[in-house]
Amino acid sequence: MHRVAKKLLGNLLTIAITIALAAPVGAAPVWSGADPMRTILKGLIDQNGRPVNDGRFAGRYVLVNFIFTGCGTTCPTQVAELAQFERKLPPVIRNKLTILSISVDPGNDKPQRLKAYAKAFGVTSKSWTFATGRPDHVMRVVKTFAAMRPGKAGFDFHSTEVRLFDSRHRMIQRYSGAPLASQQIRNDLEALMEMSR
Amino acid sequence: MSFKSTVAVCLLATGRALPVAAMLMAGASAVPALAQQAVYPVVVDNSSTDPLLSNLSIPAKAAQAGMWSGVYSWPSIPIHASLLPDGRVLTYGAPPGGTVQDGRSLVFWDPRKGIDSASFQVLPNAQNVDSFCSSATLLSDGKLLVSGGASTISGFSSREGMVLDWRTSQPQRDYNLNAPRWYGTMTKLPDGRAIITGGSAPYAINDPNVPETPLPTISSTPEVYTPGQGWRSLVGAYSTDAFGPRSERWWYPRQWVSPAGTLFGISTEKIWEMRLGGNGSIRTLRDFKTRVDNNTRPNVGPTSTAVMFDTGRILQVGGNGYNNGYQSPSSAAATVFDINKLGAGQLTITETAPMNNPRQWANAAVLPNGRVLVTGGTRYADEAGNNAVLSAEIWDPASGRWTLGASGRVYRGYHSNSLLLPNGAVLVSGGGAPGPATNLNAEIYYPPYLFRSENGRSVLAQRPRIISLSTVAANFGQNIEVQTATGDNIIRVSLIAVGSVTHSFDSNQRRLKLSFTRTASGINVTMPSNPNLAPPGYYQLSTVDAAGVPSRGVIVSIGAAAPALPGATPATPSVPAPVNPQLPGDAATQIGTGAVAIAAGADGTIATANVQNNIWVLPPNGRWTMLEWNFKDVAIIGENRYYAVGTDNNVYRRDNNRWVQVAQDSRAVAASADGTVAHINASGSKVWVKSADDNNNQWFWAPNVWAKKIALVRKGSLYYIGGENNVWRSDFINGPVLVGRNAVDIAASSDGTITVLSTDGSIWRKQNDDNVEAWVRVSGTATRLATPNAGTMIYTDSSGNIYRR
Repeated sequence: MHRVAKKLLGNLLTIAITIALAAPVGAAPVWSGADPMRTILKGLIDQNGRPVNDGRFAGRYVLVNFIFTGCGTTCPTQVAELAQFERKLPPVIRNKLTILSISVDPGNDKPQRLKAYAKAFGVTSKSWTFATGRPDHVMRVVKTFAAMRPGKAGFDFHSTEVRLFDSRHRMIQRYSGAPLASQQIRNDLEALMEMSR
Repeated sequence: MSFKSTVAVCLLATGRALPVAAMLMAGASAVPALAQQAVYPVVVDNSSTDPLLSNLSIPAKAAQAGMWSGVYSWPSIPIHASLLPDGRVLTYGAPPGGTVQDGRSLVFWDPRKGIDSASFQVLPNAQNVDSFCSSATLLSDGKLLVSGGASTISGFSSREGMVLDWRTSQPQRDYNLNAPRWYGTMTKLPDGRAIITGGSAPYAINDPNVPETPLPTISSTPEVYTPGQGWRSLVGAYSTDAFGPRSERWWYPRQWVSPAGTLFGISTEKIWEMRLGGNGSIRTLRDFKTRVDNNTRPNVGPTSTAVMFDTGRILQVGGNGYNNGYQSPSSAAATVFDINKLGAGQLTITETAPMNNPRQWANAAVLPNGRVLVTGGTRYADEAGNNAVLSAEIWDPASGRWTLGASGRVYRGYHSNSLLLPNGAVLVSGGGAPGPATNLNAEIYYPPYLFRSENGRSVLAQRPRIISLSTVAANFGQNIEVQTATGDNIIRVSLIAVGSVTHSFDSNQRRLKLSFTRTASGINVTMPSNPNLAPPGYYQLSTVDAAGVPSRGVIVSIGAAAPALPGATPATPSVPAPVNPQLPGDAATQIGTGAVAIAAGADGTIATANVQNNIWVLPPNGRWTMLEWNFKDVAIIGENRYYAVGTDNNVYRRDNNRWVQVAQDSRAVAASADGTVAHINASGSKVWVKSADDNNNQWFWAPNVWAKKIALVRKGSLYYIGGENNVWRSDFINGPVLVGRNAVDIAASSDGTITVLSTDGSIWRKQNDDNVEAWVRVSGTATRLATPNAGTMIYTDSSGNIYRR
């Protein structure tokens, strides 16, 4: 720095950094991390008793919610709404979407019960996984999502939120699941589709 | 003390010397404000005495260091503060007199009335949202949009939002966010939309030292608000660099609209830029210094403060912490970001002098003379006591130096704020909930520019004055005529956005220097050329003279709905809504089936307990949703604010999507919009009342009241059906008063309307909440009743079908 200028500015730190930035980009940033879905799904099994590996979600959008078959309040409503939501999606989106419903009651919700539960709601789609597993595995997932909170007299409440993951399995948004924010979820799926073109 | 302007007009017209008597009448002002004939249609009131500038005990060094007022009581802890387009200040975030985290109450303060109790208007529980730790911005239609926030105490969701129109002073529910956001930052955009970024689920435990990974409790995707349409995700702008869990970068991100029309941000150690078109996009520009460091103490993190003090120039100062519980020494460092050439791919970062005091949780306010005032904060974490920094400091962008100012009296750290007032003083308020401070108070800092030295002492400076303007509602690039006082030597014109501050930051605060030319009557001022420089909305226009003294600010709008005319009387806030004397119409719509009990809230929310003992609720413009557990009666305060009697005869309160027991031995419950709740004992029919909508089990017996059915208008007005089917009214103080007969069901609404169902099935309406037995027949018949307001009735038929008319 020029000595005169330095004198004028006294003891101030006057190091100005002008950074030439790369030209602004319109595309989404490149994702270089590990697939976060892999951690989420570790140890879970589906309604057919098969391990829920991340391969079935590869490159797909994923909606995640938490249920249990003994739930008589929000769960049946939400599952019914999700089923209706999925049916109404345009095929181009539906073919890229997987729904993952994770039971918060793994002690009772064995695969057979989840399968019957799915059937009761007319869910036959291979792209809808009902997941359960060893309680410690499930509770790890529940904790990751902060999907349970303590209630009165040991009765805990599970989250009614629905979460959307993009095709790189980054959690893009959380929505109200009771009632289901169908239009907002669809808007965001359409936006993700648009960005992927 | 007041100054009679009419005298001064004559003096001015004749050009004669000012009489001594008139000088004395001017009182606190060193030189009286002479009235001057206005030449433009919008006339500024310069004749009224400013009570905040009257009778000051001015220290000798005020001209160099400024001065502080005493400590003024404030009705609630002002965690959030906004300047409204009519010059009033709105604060909220905690209940009146309370220290809990519950942001439903509103406090309006009119600085023109001084700062005693008469200058405040307090609306307890006025909002049917909880805006604790929310985010706010004034929209271009003049409404203050408040979104997110909430605590667990009130039971509201962090998705909810409200709008408050300064013209009516009434809050109203608005669109829900997609994601719950606690500590999001909201910024008004150049096209009149608003964006919210960051935020998390309330009280989610987040470790700032987690690896670079997303967390399901953190919102890393922004949302954009379009007035009248609501929120939508900006999915292309997802970023954990900008809004991720590491380094608490989701916590009130520091962000501004750039001159290029993008959004520029600093989230702890990450600098980013967002494009707002379409689905949005975002890129990380580079790192800023480092993460929080106890040795180097960088000016980073949510504990810093920042302000756009000039077009495209930002001062980022203080900090070195992640949250209010994080233990770290504070930073004194200050950095200037120049984003004027961001559109050309250049960002200039210049380190300027450090403050005299390191500070976390300080506040920064840009002043009309272009300097930045920093107040409050602490030298360590959020500690008060010896670590509290009470002195003000003012940074001059021309020299890059800080000047130490006078010291206030109260530690203002976490949850404090500062707000430039139209008279050029700065309201410094809040701190607390949680502690260490519990500041149910505020102070006013008077910057040095309000004073001048005279014979070794300081006196109020003579201020330039804006006499009249051609308009206060301008468009971009428009020239407006500003008549200045005769003799004013104006060298600068300043435009500063009206503030909306919380958590030591105001994303919308910015100052612009306006170009002007001199005219015969004053100056001709050119408004900013485009909304990237000044997003549409409300700004304080001030002239600054050669001595650096600013005029009072006049609030003008740019590309927005017109503000209040200078001197206009603000609307008086009131709750509940005005009485609607109309009767419900005859047209009925069936909206449900199977009801054994029904209830309606003043906001239009309806609930029913059905034959399966399930409660279903129908919010305004929503659809039926069933709640868990089994109940036989239900009452509504508003959406998501329910009380119910379980099949186990306990009374439960709906708290944040769960039921909390608040009473036992009950068979019926009623509630009013002000949060009062009453229930009837299952054994004995005594009526018990609870005056606060909370989880406490604190009930008092309504004296001498035994009831079959109850209905509440408000605290202090209970109607009930007693023995022999008579209708009584109780105010809980005096004995019950007979007001009706032959009733089998009763409903009340917060507008004072009472409706009863007679033993023959006919419906009768009492229009006024008083002890008068005056009933009007309403057409039709019913089996059960609920009334959200005078114009609407919810009822069931004998089959349990639910109708609305």
